[in-house]
Amino acid sequence: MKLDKVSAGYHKKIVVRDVNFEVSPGEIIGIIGPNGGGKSTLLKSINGSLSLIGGSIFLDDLDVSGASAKEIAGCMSVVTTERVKPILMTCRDVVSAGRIPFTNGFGTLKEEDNARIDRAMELMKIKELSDIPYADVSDGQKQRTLIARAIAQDPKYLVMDEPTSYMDIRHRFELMELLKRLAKEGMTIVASLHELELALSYCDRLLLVYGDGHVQLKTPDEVLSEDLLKELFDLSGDMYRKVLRSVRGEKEEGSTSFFVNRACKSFPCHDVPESEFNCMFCYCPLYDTEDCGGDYFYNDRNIKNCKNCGFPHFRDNYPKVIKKLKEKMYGSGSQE
Amino acid sequence: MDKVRSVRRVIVYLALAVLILAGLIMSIGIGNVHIGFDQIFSALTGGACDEKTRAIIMEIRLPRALMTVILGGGLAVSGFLLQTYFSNPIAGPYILGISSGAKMMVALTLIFVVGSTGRTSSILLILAAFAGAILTTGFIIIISKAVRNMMVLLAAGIMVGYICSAVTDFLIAFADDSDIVNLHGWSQGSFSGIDMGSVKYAFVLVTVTFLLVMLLSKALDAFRLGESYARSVGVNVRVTRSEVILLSSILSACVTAFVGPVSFIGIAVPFLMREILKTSKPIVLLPATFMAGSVFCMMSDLLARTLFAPTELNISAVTSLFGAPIVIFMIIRRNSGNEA
Repeated sequence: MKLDKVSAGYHKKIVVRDVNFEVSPGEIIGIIGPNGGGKSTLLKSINGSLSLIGGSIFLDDLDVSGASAKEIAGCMSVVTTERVKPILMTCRDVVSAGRIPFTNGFGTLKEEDNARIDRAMELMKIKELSDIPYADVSDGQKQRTLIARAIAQDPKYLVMDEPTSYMDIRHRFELMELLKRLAKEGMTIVASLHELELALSYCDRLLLVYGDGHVQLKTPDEVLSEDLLKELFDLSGDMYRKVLRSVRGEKEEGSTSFFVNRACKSFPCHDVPESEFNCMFCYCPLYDTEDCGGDYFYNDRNIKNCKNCGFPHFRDNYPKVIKKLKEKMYGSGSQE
Repeated sequence: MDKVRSVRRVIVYLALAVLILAGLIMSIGIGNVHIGFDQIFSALTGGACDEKTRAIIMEIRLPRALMTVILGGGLAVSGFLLQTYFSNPIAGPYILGISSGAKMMVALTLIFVVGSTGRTSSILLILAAFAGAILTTGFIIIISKAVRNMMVLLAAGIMVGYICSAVTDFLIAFADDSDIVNLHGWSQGSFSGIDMGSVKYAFVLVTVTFLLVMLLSKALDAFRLGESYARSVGVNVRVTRSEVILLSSILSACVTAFVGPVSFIGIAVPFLMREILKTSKPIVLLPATFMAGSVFCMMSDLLARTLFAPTELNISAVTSLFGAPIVIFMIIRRNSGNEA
């Protein structure tokens, strides 16, 4: 996919201008930016439902502005933010709609179509919703159904506008993992995302769409190291620090309260199972046996380890450990 | 699920076929002169039959019965198309003022063209009704572009209907009685006095239009998820929209031209069929809607002419009586929870 000097907008009013980039097969491009900045406008232009004001978009050799809806449908599927209200359609019916471009004049589903529908529903984990009316499922399930519909279309390019909306945190991560897998199989994915931590950790490159309509294409690392988010979302210093904290925290295995450095030459230094381990304990003050009432010994690598400790060095215990540390450093209360 | 669905489909289609057949026999047999089944059979197959009975069957009752089948089906399909177009389940040719628009044009034609030349032909009336239907439809489309709200759209349709009726009334007030005798009969909506010639015209028109509609069924299927998803699976939205509105107008114009305005079939029948078949898939629904429209119209006509015989009710009186409660039920159902 190639965008060449693209300007997009409504009624000749340009919302996004001068977009130039080329996407290689199997890449995941995340589009991030403030509300009303033109993320959706750009996505609509890419899928051909909004005509371009300037420039051109190519899907391989196909010029989107000159192509028929049918030609585009053959290689691209979309998930929009529009809420659909189909009458009397089951979730499976909705997913089946993704096969329409490949069926005959009467829309008969062949075996291959059914197989693709089944696979898409399995991937999105909505198999059990097959026979339930679309109108009766939850918003998150609706969203997953619509994404399954897009996957059933078996596209080369998958273009999605805020695919994670309405979904709970687990399904968001599952979706991103799935997208990664599809990308590995060769699907090119362009999606606008609100969750920066997802965008930063799963996308190969990010398109930053600024409020004034200019854009920038960067890798997630560049976005963080060049502090681009601050300007993009027009954040105050304090807000930006909070954003960074949450973004960085999410990058570390999903929580901010522990980390495990497996590369450490002393690892594992404790007798704690790895799933409970926390390298923060390297700074643990409680090796002083006076405090914890336990004892210590040196293990075979000559690393100090504790025994019968009153403060089990488990992850969840960390706040208590920190509290003790603070008491030791600054003294407890007004004493001393 | 798929199996349950297909069993349901087979049963519904069989039932509709039986109903149409039964309706035809009843429509031909029941009336001032009762005609037995054996006589109907021999008259239709060219066997031995009383000449007078044969004349009643072939010149009066058969054309009338066939016309109800053809036009009732056409009307129901027309309603189905309008509902798809406006993504609104209570859109229909009558409610949106399309019938009134057609009536106005027919009145104009009867008074100014037929009145001055003294000649009348069904083609002329069809063209007039068609022009009227297209004009009002076009107007409704313009309004629906500006407002997406269903209530506003319906209000606009009803208002357009009133305006057209008002214009028609003006025309009638200033016209010669002899010119409007026809119009009065026509605007009542009635299948009486239909001859085989009109049946042939209507048959060709409705059949061709219906086949074209069937060809659109895949695109209509895609439309169920709204316009942008329809486009994303390769449907040319603009072309399909104009095709839908054109075909729907042809169908409702055809009905209005031959028998005058007939209310509620266009709304009630598609709704009933969706509920009975438990699907909104056009390729399944369209033929069933046509057949059910035929049955509904045929039975209504039968009631209209037999209920208070020899006085004949106008057909809309009967279709409204049965159709309106269905529509009320439908609106209540829609607003009680299904909206989310």
